[in-house]
Amino acid sequence: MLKFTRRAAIGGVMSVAVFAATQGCLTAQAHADGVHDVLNGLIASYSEHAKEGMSNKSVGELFEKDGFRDYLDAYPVGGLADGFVWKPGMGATFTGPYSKLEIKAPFTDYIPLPEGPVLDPKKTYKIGFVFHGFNHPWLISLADTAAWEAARHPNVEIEVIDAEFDDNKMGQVIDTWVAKKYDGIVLWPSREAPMGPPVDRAIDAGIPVVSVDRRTSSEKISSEVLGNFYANGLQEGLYLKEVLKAGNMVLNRKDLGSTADSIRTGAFLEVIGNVDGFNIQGNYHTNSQRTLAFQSTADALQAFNDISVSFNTGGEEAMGALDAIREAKRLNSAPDGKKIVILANDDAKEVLKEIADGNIDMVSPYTPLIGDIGIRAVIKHIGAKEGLNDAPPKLIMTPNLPMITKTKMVIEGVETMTPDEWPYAYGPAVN
Amino acid sequence: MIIAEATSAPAVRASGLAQIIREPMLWLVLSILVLGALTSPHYLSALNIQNLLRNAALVGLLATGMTIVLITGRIDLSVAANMVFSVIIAVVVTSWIGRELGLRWIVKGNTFAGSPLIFVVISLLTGTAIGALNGVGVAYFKVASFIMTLVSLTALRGLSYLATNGAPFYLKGAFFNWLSDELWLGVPVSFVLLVVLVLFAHAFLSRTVAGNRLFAIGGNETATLYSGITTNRYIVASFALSGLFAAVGGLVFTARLKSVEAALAQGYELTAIAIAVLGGVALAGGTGSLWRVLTAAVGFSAGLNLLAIWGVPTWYQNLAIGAVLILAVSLTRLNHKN
Amino acid sequence: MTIVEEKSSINAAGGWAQMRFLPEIGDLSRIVVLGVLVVAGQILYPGFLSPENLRVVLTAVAGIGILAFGMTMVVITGEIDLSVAGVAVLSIVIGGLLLPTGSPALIIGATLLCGLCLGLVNGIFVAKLGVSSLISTLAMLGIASALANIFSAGQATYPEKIAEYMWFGRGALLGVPVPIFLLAVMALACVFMTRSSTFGRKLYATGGNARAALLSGIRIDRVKIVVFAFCGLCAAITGLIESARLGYINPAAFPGLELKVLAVTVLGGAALAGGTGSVFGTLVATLIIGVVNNLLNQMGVSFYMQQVVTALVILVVVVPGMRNRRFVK
Repeated sequence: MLKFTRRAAIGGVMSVAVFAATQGCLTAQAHADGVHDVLNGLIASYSEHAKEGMSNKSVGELFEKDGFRDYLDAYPVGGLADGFVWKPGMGATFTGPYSKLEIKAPFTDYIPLPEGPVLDPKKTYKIGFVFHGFNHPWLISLADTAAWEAARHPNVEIEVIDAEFDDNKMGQVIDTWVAKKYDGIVLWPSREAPMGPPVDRAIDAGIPVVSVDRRTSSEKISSEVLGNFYANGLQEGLYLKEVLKAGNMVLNRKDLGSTADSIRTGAFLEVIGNVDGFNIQGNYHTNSQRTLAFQSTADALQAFNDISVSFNTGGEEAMGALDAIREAKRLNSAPDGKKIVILANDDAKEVLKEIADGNIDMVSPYTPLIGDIGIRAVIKHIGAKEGLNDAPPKLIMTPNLPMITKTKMVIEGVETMTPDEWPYAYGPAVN
Repeated sequence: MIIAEATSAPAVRASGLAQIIREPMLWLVLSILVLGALTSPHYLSALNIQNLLRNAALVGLLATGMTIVLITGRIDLSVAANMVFSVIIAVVVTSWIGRELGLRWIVKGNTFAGSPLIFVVISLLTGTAIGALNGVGVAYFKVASFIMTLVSLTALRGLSYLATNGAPFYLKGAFFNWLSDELWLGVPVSFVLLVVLVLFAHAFLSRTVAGNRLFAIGGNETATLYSGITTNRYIVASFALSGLFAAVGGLVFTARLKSVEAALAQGYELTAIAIAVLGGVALAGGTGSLWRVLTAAVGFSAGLNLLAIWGVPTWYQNLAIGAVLILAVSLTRLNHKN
Repeated sequence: MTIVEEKSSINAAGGWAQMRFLPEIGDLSRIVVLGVLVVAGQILYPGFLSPENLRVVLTAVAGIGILAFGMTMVVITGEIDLSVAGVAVLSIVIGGLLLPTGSPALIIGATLLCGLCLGLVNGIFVAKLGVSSLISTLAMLGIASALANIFSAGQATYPEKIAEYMWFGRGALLGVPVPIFLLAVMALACVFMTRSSTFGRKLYATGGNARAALLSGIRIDRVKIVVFAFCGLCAAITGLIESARLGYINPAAFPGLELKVLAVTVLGGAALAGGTGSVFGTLVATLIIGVVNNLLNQMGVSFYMQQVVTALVILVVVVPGMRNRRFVK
């Protein structure tokens, strides 16, 4: 159980002050107004073109083989709740209860909930937060934001449990919380299919359940806070198309069939599917392990001497690929002595440092700082159950975030951010 | 031969009230339940006990199969991979049969809605066949069981991905609901299934010649060989039984999740070994009681459930499992020395 | 360790010691397999034998190879060590906690010492308490991984400022990358330890026939403690190399490492029953695995198919050497 420390309380107070300050200076940088809608527009148009067919054979074949169409069509893309418009600079600053790191979370004003007691002040509300991987920076940051939000409300108690990537264990944790009659459950599922039944059981027991980032197969779930996988893969494609017209690519992908892989890689392929110059030379599943991404890239560099692009579905993959390219001294080994273009996801601090140093070329931010949205949504669902407020929408889109590049660029109406402009990076700083 | 069978006798004839009272595992389960009742109002609720028994059913099935192999002095690391693989193959083959019959047994791309009977038969056959294959490798090709089953573990995981392309199959229908949720006199049907299967397996081990020979092989293989018994086929049989139990475990496991996919149940083989050891099975072979393993499965689930009820973080749960395991084997060992 | 195996007439003749020093037929077959793979690789990919690709193959397996040497010695004594992944992770995490001190000697020393001590604990449990090594090291795997998470609070650290630490992964000695250099040094040291020293004789005697070894005055408990401690040290060295290559000390590192290392050890001819196996065989097996992985990746074979192929390679190499045994557990 999370203990409410004085530091967390002070952090909460400070965050309000910081928020007020950032609001003040925001008017000056409203340039990225509506980046969410701009990216959604691009998703729709590229998706449409891809459906008409892909002229690039190499891309089209892979797209067909792994069945990306089915995954992409099922993934929701849409507007933000309550007409929210996210702008760079928004959000509260606080110290992560678990990581002890300074965090600036981008979406603390989305589905807002004022600090202080919630719903019926005389009652205490118990919320369970279950996820996987309390030893990965992305996931610790996710738990940080969830615990921070809970700590803002004195009558909310949160229990945070790591199911260690065992779907069955996550199901058992949820079943235990049903037995303990918790008031609400928030989960970060690893895979969709196995988490449907436990979520349904909790809903049937009258407990609101909200999933964050990834989805479950439950149709009864109270709300889903969705990640922005589609915009991630899309922007990797947009950037590549902008800087290169042709070249050989090596892909480091996540677990076959996982949402992160299906949507990001699928969206990337949709964008470049009608650019004939690109050729997929290597296609690896390195399952979010840096060591495996290192190895596949090292081997691919030996097999092919004219790689122009390293596409990575995550930050771990990109760091592994970069390390392998550096170890082989091949950073500038693309045809005509050009640099290998490295595309990444996940705005970890280590990735941003490599962007600033010019080693990784672009990253689509995939922020873990969304646990707070899940907690607020589940509190509102509890309130709706008690007749105290309206329920939040079932699908809660997370605002799409613009890509980060070393220097500012405008690509098809998307204004990129530079590492200096990005206060939301997560994880430990590289000294 | 005589000596070997004599060593297995105490484990086989563990009955009578006096012996039951002396079971340390039983006392452990009782004290966990009492501790749970004292510290949480929810621990002894019907729902929580049912949750606990469902978990015990799954790990108990794997541990029972594992125990049968451990009794022969061998080990089966492939149980968890086999459990997932046999269900995947059952979905793939049953839906193929459906197609041949002109029936749509896979709907909406990946939801299985075929005949549960054919599905169950094929999954049990697949699990048993994989087990038998392990047994043949160990008995006839003389590959150490640790290696043989480690190799199948790796291969089955890879094949499960290749057979599904990483996508899940949803399992819909009355059969899966029944296996997952049905209660008999308040007891989950999966736990009843475990108890019935343990009853049969125990009778097989203690009352049949074949069962006694498994103990004999584990107790003194050379003597058993010299007494003219063709040990190889018994070894194959023990692995086949382990595969069968893994397949039943697979049905219980996937029915609860109403889906199956390649990545599930990683590392469950280690839980199965841990429970068998907590149940007093010696890895050297020749001894082991399925009733104690059943009690250990309940004790393991009850303990983990209590930690979950208390909200103990996962890392400390893992620490506790490791500590209990090492304590249990050390105590057994010291007891043995005395 | 449960896996007991019939020792045929070798024991009766009392000739186990001499037997170990004869060239092993199994090693020859492994060398042939490696040779075939290398020739096939060179035909498929003209750059296969280039110094660059050899560097890739060797650095990739250096860590696993060093750990497999330690594991081989444990297996020769008839025991097994499933805790290596946990030991490696806890060791580097301890080093990572000391990064703020900035003292390379302290950081690297603590990493290695942690591995050594955990190995020592494993050895004491097995040798003094007589607990099954499969279970006690399985428990140690869980405990060490849990402690690594608890101590680090799950957070990764970056050793990149400590040049001496990074040397283990990215440095070079006389033009040879340090991981490869360490692999060679450890291979030589281990071959010397197992083949030509009195310790080697004790090692094989302990696993071959513990009773005979006891009767001939060998303290098998000490031998076992030494090999477990050494295996723990190897795990720490592997952790050091791998974390330095990535510049990343990660408490979630090395999932399933113990099984990969065991696969290499067995591929190298060590039987889990104890008494057989050689460091040289393990070295050849390490190279086989390295070449297979490199070729499969170069050919673009999917990760999942690679698992199936690796399993088959192990069976194909291991099975023929097994036929002449009466029975094996």
